[in-house]
Amino acid sequence: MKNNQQGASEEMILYARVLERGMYAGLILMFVTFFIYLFGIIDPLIPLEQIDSFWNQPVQDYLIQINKEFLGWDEPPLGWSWIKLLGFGDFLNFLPVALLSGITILCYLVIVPGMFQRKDHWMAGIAFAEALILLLAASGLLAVGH
Amino acid sequence: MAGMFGLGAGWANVPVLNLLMGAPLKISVATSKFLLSITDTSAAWIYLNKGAVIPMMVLPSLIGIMLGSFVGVRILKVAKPTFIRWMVIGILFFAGLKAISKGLESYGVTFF
Repeated sequence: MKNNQQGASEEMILYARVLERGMYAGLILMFVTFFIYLFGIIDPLIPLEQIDSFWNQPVQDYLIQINKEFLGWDEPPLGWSWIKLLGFGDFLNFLPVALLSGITILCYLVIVPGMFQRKDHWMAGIAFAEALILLLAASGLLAVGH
Repeated sequence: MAGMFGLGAGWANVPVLNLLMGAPLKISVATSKFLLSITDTSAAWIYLNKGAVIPMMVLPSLIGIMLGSFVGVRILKVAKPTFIRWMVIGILFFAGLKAISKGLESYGVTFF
């Protein structure tokens, strides 16, 4: 393992670099999408003046109600169905949240090859398992359907 | 404030690492922030998949936490550990008091 002057390994530096770039990208995108939403540049699904009537409800009731009032789908918008709603100003804001949530997975995946190369199989396995667990969380398999 | 001191949902990390385990404060904060970046990431996906994200509430919070982190990291470089320790203790005290107050509200007791 090569260490720099601060004692950080190459993988630590790589992880931090990917995390930093992803974080800046997510933050900038978050400012942009929130600006679009706030100033009504793209119409939201739920009108701004009605938002406060939803946010004190249990999430199930909130989803059923917005589906009934604004979407008319067979099922409330769960799982990755928010992607179909990215054309609305409010759901566009899910994009930076997903980017920020996904960057940790990428951080783990980029450090795995370097660990395998220097035959640190245990650490590579742990990093890969961590990425898989986060991918499982992202897939929605754990959150939807029960 | 949570973003500044690596508190967030894992508010117990910093006091446990620093006050109980004796890790230096700045290392405790950095470790807590790193841990939270992983656990909060998986939690964020669960919230997204359950449709429990209202942008008007979530986005300003996220922006605040991230900007707080930027400020906090810079303050940590120059601040004295004792100052930060007392600030963390103060924040946790008020957070705890607020949690107790919220819990007691269901029994009809209010003191805020």
